[in-house]
Amino acid sequence: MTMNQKTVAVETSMIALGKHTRRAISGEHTILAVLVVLVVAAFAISSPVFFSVRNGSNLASSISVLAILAAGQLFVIISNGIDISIAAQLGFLSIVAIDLSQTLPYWAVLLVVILAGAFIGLVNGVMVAWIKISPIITTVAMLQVLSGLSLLMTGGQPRRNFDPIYTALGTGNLFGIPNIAILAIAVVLLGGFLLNRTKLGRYAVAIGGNENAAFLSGIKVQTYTAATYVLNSVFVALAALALSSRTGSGLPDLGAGIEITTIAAVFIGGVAWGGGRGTMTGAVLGVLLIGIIGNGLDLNSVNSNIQIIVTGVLMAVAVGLGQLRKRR
Amino acid sequence: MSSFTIRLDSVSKHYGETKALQNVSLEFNSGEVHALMGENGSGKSTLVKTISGIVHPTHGTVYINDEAVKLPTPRAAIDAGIGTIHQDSAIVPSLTVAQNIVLGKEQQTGPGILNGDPRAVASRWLDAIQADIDPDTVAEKLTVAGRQLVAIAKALSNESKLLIFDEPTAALGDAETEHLLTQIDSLRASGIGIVYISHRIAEVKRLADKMSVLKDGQLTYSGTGELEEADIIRLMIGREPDALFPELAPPRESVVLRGENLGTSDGFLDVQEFSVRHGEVVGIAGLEGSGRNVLARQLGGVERSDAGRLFVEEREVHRVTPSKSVKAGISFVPPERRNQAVIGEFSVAKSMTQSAVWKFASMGVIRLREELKRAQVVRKEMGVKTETLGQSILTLSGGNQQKVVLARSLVAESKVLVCDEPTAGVDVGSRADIYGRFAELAEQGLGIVLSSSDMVELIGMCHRIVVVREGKISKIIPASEATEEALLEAQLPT
Repeated sequence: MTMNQKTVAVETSMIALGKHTRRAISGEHTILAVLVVLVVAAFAISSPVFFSVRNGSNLASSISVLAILAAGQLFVIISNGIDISIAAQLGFLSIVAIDLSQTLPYWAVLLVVILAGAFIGLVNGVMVAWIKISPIITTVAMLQVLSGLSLLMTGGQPRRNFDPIYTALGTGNLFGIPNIAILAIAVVLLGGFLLNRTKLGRYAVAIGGNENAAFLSGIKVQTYTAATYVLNSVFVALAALALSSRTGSGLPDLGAGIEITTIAAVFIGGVAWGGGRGTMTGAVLGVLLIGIIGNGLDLNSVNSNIQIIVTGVLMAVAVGLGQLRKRR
Repeated sequence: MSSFTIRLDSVSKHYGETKALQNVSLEFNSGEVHALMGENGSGKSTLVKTISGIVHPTHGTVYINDEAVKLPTPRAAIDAGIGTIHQDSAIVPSLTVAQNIVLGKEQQTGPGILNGDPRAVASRWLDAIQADIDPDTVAEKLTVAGRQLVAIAKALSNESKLLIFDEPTAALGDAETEHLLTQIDSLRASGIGIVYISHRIAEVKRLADKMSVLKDGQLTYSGTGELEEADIIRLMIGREPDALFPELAPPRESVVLRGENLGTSDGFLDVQEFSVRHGEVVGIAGLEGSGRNVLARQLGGVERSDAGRLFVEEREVHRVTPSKSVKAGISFVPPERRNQAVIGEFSVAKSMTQSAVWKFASMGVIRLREELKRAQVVRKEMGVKTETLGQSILTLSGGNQQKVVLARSLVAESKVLVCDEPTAGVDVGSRADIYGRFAELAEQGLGIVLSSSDMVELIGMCHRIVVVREGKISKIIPASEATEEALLEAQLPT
């Protein structure tokens, strides 16, 4: 049931993203979309609980966090960057959020966490765009700093807040749709709009596609490069709020490993390594594929380590196919 | 259109010790085509970059309509009415033609929010230059000529009053060139000023109202360009060949290197046969984009030609790879030493043996003492000036680094040496040294292919010179008949 609603929601988002995107679906994303459908069908057959309400809610929330993160990472990768630090950001911001929620009203927590995210993104962006440190080194450094900071603040112990006001975002629902899924859909729609209809999106593509051309066209390359990192971290902040609210806890390794899954999803979605090419639809399909496969394998009691292997193979195959297509 | 003048007043640009531009004073006016000529490295590009906001002059002032201006960014130059059509047309491949044309100047409805459809703007300017291009085409699908036209439309859409064309016809066919020249004619008629950079003297003579020649960063001529072709060439070269070059012994009869059907799969480069005899120095001349570098790479056995075959002493090198070629007896010296030849972390000794470590290795284990001994020997043979063999290759001067690179052919005991721009960035003293070694090595029977953009070097150092023009051999000139005029004439597109 929820799954259907999810699909409907994704479809609506596709319509909202416009003709351009629908054409993209029919073309370059066909294989991916068909794969998603096949995977859903396979799990529906192999596991009767796949379409249960409970699993739907589980699936929606795990996919939602991934979708929010992928929407942000897409901007960074499309402008020829990468952010490895998002899991560390997620852990750190979840701790900040829970800590603040003990004293501050919810709207203030929201504001401060988003601003904190923006600040982290700004630091990454300044290091990459102006100081010209490679994105991988920059964000690995950020990863280290934030992980250390998180451990220092908590001593490795999770922070808890089970106040219903705080956990509403992660556990509540509206007309049967989990709030967290609504947030993800909103973020994806916003991301699609930013990518296709704003200067930020256009310039991110231009910078990834041909940085020199962007520069010679009079684009402020450094500002827009940094902006992709800020946007990404703002989305990470939203994901941190959602995830910490779902579990009622903030801890350093809240999102352990999710940076790799996110990056994998974005690449599976057809975004070019080196930037300049990619769509929100593709990223969302990548997220759906990884998320659904993970969930389905869980239901079929497949060892979770095997899921990691599957993700890796999927990513290599998807990117490899893309390369082969490009060569032709 | 009101008149528009951009004037450079004693503009200089220094990069450290290098003076890319020295005291250049020039004026570009609306409604005229001003041709800018000069060899590679003469300062043309620096001049263009100065007025398009990419490079900031060390000294001197730029005036627009008699008002001193600073052009700190490309944006500032664009806003001042200066549009540049760069050589490698700066285009974002994944965006559409229309999106490329408005890139950086998109219409907006709100802060940062794009206002729908750039196609109307794009069509208007594409039509203005009679370019038959669909604004919805993805830019990567365009031909070179198409990209060029899009770049022009983009510059026009910025309401440029001065358009700078940087070798716009270098990669165009005849019909495309004709179309472009017609468009430039009508742009001039509409009152736009044109700065036209080209190697093609015929085009310049046909198009230009004024002509300026740069040589080693200095303005050597500026006027209405009523010059003979030969005079223009002499102005561009502006120097006499000097006594850098040793006497060459006559080559032997036997062929050491032979290439058959070399070329690229798109048919641009197409060379039926190219052979080098033992002890022969064969030059390759050709402008940038002529295919000269690719030919050198294929002869050097570092790039495979689809249909081509390569023979060393009549034994074929099958399915060419750099590793097979060096074992077959070919050494290749690439044109960009820092990027392509030298590994910065390597010592002088390791740099010498870099391409032939297999000579001292058994089962993958390197016999270090033997390697070092060999390095000591070739150091003497090549005359490399270095304190120790253990110091970093980067501590040596450019000339000595190049000698180390050349020494690799000795270590590998190559039968033929293919070098592309072997004396680029090498001081005069080391150049004479290197030429001397070439002569000695040739006398010992080494075949040498010398691909170079330096005509003096080709004339002074080769038995014969193969001239490549637009991917084909246009002429083979024996050393006795080689002059710079003859060479340049054979290189310049007809």
